[in-house]
Amino acid sequence: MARNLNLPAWARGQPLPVVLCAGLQFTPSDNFLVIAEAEKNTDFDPTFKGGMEYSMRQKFFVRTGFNLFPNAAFGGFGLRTWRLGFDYAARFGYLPGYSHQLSVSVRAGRITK
Amino acid sequence: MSCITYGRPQAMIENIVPSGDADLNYEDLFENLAQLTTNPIDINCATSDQLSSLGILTQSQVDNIIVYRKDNGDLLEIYELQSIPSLDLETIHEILPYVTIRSSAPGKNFLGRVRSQHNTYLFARYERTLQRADGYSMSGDSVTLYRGDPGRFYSRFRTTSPGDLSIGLTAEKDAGEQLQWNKTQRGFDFHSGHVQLLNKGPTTNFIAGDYTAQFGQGLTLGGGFGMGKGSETITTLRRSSTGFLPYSSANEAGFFRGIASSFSLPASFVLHTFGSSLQRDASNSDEGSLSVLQSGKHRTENELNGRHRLTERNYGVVVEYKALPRQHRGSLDIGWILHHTSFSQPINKSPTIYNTFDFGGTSNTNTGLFANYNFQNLNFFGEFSQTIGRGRGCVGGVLASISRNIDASLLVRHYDRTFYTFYSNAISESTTPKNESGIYWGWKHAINRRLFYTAYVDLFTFPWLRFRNYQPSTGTEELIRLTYKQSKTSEFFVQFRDERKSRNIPGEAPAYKSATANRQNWILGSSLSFGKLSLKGRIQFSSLRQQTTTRGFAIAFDAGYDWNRFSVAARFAVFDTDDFDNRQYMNERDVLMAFSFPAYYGEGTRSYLVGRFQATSWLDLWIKIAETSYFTATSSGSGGDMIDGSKRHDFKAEAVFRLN
Repeated sequence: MARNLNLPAWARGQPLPVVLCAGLQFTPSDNFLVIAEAEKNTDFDPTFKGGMEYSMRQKFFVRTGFNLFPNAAFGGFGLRTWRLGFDYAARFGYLPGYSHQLSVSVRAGRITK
Repeated sequence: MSCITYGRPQAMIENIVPSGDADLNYEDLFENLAQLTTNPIDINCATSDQLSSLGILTQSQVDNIIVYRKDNGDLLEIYELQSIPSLDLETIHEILPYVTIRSSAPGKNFLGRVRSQHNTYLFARYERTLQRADGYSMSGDSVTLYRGDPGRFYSRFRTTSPGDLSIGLTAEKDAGEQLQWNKTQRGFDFHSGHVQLLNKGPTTNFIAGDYTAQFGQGLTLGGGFGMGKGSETITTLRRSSTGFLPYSSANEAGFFRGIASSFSLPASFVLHTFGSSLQRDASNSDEGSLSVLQSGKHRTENELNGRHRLTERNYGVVVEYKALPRQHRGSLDIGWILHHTSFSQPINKSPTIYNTFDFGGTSNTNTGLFANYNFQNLNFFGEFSQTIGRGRGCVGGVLASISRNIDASLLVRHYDRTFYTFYSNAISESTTPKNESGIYWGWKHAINRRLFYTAYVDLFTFPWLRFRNYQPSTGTEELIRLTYKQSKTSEFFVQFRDERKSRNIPGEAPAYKSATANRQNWILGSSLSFGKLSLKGRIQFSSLRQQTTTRGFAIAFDAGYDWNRFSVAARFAVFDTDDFDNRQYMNERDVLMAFSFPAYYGEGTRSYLVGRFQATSWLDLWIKIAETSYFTATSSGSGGDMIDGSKRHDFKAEAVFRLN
């Protein structure tokens, strides 16, 4: 993933930060997913991220992950039915504290397998 | 024929030792490992916890052994291990030095059992630094004069019939301590002993004497060696409830003295109870203060005045429910702990900036719950403990076998600053589980049969002040280790560790500002063997960056050779460190049942020679001579242990008698 690759700048010539992300995803087995990623923002030191997801029959998911520099820990779970998807995650950082995220998704229309 | 596999325990230590930057007394902390090599676990009697306490088997491998035993009866031969599912040959080779099959018939009288055992030994060890330390040269009436001779003497007798009984006796005198016979001291400075009976009807364990207690995750009751964060990132996370174990180390703190018993009740319940009364050393640095000492050194008049000044009593009960693994359900182990400690005089430390919330008073009670549950390829574990009237602590997590080649672990911990526990070995970044919160992710991946790597990330915070860090802070630690086993006889590895922790900026007193200090350690190692010759090489370097950057470096070459009755191991190492913070810890070979993990610092060389001679089938003689030589320094050590001159020679000799 990349952002601002064309080096846009504000009116006075001050450049906006360029962000580059590169990562790996692999599935050691049917139920597990592992991700490792590095992100570099021109204004900050590089950030390293890792995450793991365990799924039970692709219906219920448990996730955990971490960020390094700045440090944060993540935990969350998700549910999937035919039509509904529901995800919750909490992020914990030392200074910001807890931050919660929730997402709900609906598949509209006719669903073919 | 019992074979002392010399190399194995050393390799294991390097993988499970907490990445050493704390000054722990490793020689005594390795007691459990030493016990395992000379008193192997009997596969047919071992409990699930004893098997997982080896730190080698995963929980599902342990469960498979238990289920196999239930379905097929006792194992007749060690080779039968191959028929247990999920135990591959490599794992079997790894556990071989620590397990055995008991062949003697129970019911013989005591002497008959002792004689038919492979596990009776007596060793006597003497060690001494040849150069005279300053402490021996003080004037005769000085309170800092070492009153005894400079030799350390340590002797231990132990006879064990696995699953049946164990008797031990230890006597020890540190360098500088005197041999005396009076009301407070009978001969040696430190004596320890125990009698243990196992599996006598409903009483599964009974110990009179010295013992340790390990239940749950060791948060309330943790005994023996607490493996911390190291390059083994999975199995060392989880403690096993091994219960009461006899104590025969020479470490003068960290054990109970009294009676302990485990009694099995109907419906898979077990009742454990213990009581202990022990004399502890205590000192007062100024009027009205009293704190407990752990070093066990009684050399000078000051130290002798503090000897055995305080009586510490401990009582406790653990009610445990243990369900064996079944067809579709893993093993389950849950329990409740109550533990009370009381002191004959109130503990009251001299106030410092960082110890406002340290323990003070005459008594402390902890109560808590622990649970261990195995579900398919996931192993959940946890313990919660509450200090009555004060704070609480909890630790828990999960070990997951993600696939045949990958294991992952997650551990979450939180310890209040007012949580007090004196016998804990729970996982923590600090030396005790107090004033800390953290999350740890561990990873182990075998890429193929030869190549595997382990890694962990630990994020932690300290909500309150700590020693040398006078503000609440946060930190991280990451480690990655890649190992390549080219063949059965050659192995290479590289390890990198990065740690960021806050500490006081030197020279700012009394304003005390803190800043993050970044420490990085690299280790590269290789080991090769050609028949009877074995070679090892190791390079380590470290850096510490806060306001300035300081570094450390060490390189070591080891060689070992085995003849018929002789074996010899030698090392030559060079080290160069800018300061004590960059000290290099290196595992050294040593005489039997001694483990040595010293820190090299300064600029100089270290060399040693360890020799072993099998005089007869029941007598082994060991010797170790070592020299530390500094390039420019004119003295080493500090205080009473300071030695003039740029060289230091250490000598150690040991005789081991074994009954086979």
